[in-house]
Amino acid sequence: MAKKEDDKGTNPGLNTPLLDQLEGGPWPSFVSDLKQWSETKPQVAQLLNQLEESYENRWNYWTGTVLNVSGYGGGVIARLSDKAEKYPDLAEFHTIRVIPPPGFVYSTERLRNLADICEKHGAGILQLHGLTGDALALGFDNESTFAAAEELMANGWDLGGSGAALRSLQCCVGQARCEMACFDTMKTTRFLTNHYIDFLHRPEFMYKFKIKISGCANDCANAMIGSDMPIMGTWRGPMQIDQEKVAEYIEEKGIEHVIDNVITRCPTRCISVKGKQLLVDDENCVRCMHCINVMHKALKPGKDQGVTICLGAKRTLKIGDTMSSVIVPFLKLDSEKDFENLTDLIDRMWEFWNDNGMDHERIGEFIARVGLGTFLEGCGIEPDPRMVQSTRTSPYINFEELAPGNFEGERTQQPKAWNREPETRESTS
Amino acid sequence: MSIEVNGKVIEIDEEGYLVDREDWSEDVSEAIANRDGIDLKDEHMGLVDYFRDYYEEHQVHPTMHVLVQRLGGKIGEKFHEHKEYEKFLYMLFPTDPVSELCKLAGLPKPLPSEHDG
Amino acid sequence: MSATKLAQRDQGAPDYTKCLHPAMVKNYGKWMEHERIRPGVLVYTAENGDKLYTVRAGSPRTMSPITIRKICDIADRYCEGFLRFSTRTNVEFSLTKKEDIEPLIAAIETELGFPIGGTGASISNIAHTQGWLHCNLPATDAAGAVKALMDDLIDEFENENFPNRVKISTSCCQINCGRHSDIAIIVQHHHAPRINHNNMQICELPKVVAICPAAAIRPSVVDGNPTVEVVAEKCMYCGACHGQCPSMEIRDADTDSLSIWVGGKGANTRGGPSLMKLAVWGLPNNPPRWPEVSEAVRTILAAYREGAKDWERVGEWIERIGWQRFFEKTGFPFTKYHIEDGPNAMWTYNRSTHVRI
Ligand code: HEM
Ligand code: SF4
Ligand code: SF4
Ligand code: SF4
Ligand code: SF4
Repeated sequence: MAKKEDDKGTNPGLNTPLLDQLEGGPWPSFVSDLKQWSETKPQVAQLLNQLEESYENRWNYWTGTVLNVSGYGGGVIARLSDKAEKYPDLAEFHTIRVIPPPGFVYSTERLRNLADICEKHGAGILQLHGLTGDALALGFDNESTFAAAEELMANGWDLGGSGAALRSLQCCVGQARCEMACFDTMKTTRFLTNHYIDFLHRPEFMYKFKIKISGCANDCANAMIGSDMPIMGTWRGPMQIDQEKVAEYIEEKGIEHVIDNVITRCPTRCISVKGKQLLVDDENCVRCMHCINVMHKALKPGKDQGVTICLGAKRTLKIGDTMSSVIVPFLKLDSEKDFENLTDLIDRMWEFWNDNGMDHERIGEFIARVGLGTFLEGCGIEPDPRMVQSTRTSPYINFEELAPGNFEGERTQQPKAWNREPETRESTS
Repeated sequence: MSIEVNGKVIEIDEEGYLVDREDWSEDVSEAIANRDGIDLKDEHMGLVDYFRDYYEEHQVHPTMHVLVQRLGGKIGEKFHEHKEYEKFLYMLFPTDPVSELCKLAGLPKPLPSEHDG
Repeated sequence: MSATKLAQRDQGAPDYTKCLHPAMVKNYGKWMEHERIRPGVLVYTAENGDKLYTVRAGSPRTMSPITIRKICDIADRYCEGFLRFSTRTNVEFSLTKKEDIEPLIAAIETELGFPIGGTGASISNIAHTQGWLHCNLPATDAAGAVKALMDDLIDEFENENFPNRVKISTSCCQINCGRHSDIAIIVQHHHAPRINHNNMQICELPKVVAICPAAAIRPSVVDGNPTVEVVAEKCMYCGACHGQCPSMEIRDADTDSLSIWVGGKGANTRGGPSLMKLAVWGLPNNPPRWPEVSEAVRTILAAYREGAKDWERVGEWIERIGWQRFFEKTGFPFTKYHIEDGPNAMWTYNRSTHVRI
């Protein structure tokens, strides 16, 4: 619908007694902010009035639709108001997803640029950031969506992912400002975004695929339960211990504090205290970060760093929640070759999933259906005991190597298990 | 809204989807394509036919996944390279090939369920 | 739409190196330690001794350009023109001059009205979604519910008075965009979808049938038109069909209710990630301030603060004291609905004689 930026006279006037109750109180109020903004943008007044009706009737007035910018199969979340007659400016009121700089870092120049473009073409409302990892810009009709998208792209921005595609990647602040970071999260995020930009912009999967990236097990990017493929920082070999600072810490806090908060909390009981020294059984340390968080001055991740890659988390629709599980226990991520290994792995997993998945099947659901063993074999990944919590409990197993010949008689009787060389699987890459 | 094809008035919605799917003919396809600024060639028409056949059989339209898997097949060594077929589709239909093909084939407009989240 | 010249496509993620504070560029990967000056204010020290102070402020997430520009003004004044947003929608202002911290905080508080906090063992900003403001599925609001709750919990945002951090999320439909959190507020539907048979022609029926996880939907014919029907006894009110097809209305303004789930955790620390579990159900969906939800959240928080050991997250605390004690301490009833059903249910029963008597 036509924008009416300069004709403030048509502002229908706000009537929002319920929303007004969200103006008081100490937490910053989006209602006050949007009210103020509605002086400039009349459609925002309509938005607030419609929201008020939602509050009054506990009912929603948006319908979803599909809209795409030329060359893209996603990135616009298109909404039509059910109350367009009453609120003509909301008839088309879409959100554009914009890929933010990795780690959500901005220069004010960039952020102002984003706000200016969104104000120029649409309602100008920004949400920083959506849980999907995008910067969200609200309030464009069809025409202004296209215009805004062009101007955004002309200014170095790109649209985010939506639909059955790779979604915008998200990472923690990592090495830019965190001493815990075990690899370069921002670089990895930008690299993967750009490498797989085709998959992000032009959906072709059965369903969405999210990659989120955290510099260590603390998972500030919420990757473990919020993405199909968390890439998590970790290390090999011993962690770094500064025994002098350990002694200082013990002197300051007392030995009981250390026992209660560090020693007894280690999930594998692999850390112990001897006098004023800490001993870590590095072979059994599972890199959970707990002791490092508590004694962050004395302890640090080890020096030989890399990532653990997991796979499969999603929220509850349809088969119930799945959690990510380990798919690559350790991978270095420094050199170009390392990054090639990573994309090679992703390519193989996507290929197997895409060739065999069903419509609307997330990769976690797919693995749950076919079994992790089958999945690994399909992707040419060697099984590794670090991928499981325990071996199986069900004794009903199809041992391919031990199965007798087919009834068709193609396969002859196999040699007895104890006479045979164990078969090693070649990776199919 | 409506368009006129061979002297017959055919109702379409704002975006150009047929209101009554029975109205479809190749000429209607062509008229809708013109409206969207697409010059229909054999490649386009072949895909429109594929969409109609697929819908006839499954009562759902083919997703991009289906197109890339079944029509594109394996191109190149790496999974990455099979994007070529999709790029080709975007060349034919720069704005959302699947929606556009549904429109040209006289199928229902795809719903946003696959587009959000 | 036929723009004459199209801008360049597929540029990907913006160059972050141009968006980093100079001290971050200089010390990228060379940070050594951090320390908390006060809740909301941290100092990071690099190997070479450089110090970077970071002030974290809670934002409402949904902001107008007026607010965005105010944020930029402040970052220009104190932070050399750089800033960052955290995963939980806080704004982080980084600066190298210690003497600027107080003026910066004063500017944030007076010009923006944003509170300072959200670090360490506090309640950080609530992860939320679109709600009635802009989604097509919600049965309740998101930003408003967060505003009401954070008004209530502001002290906990500005201080670090918990055994460990507490992450809260809200979800405005059963799709649960809010994800797992220490405390999560979720909408619950209570009826099978109402089908608008007149409008089923817009959907592709096999897709609607296939989407149902309970196999409750089957094809049918009404007035000669193909449509679907729902076997009400099988339906578990998940709303998956509603996401697929707008003509399958799952919401009901009169009966939709809210429930609270506890113990979700994404971090791998100690016991690793965990899913959240049901604590309270049947709270009214009561805009504009949802007082019943606030009260229940505060009850859980009070019991957690009182009972948990340092570093225990909500889920770890409950795991240690057991659910029986959780219900005792919070006073919420334990009902048959708290017991899991479905294929994995057996694994959630108490399969031992370990009982606190
Ligand atoms: C028609 C269906 C859907 C709609 C309209 C929808 C809408 C959205 C929106 C608007 C967001 C961003 C929220 C924000 O930050 O503002 C989101 C995020 C999310 N959605 Fe959906 N969604 C849909 C389907 C699903 C389904 C089926 C699932 C789960 C299987 C799902 C899981 C999530 C999750 C976990 C997030 C959080 C973001 C993340 O972890 O990256 N959504 N969705
Ligand atoms: S996930 Fe680890 S590396 Fe990343 S910001 Fe958090 S603590 Fe730092
Ligand atoms: S990192 Fe975790 S597993 Fe390793 S020693 Fe510390 S507490 Fe134990
Ligand atoms: S939780 Fe549901 S209603 Fe809320 S934003 Fe996500 S999909 Fe929309
Ligand atoms: S609400 Fe869920 S269980 Fe019920 S019919 Fe719809 S999809 Fe099936």
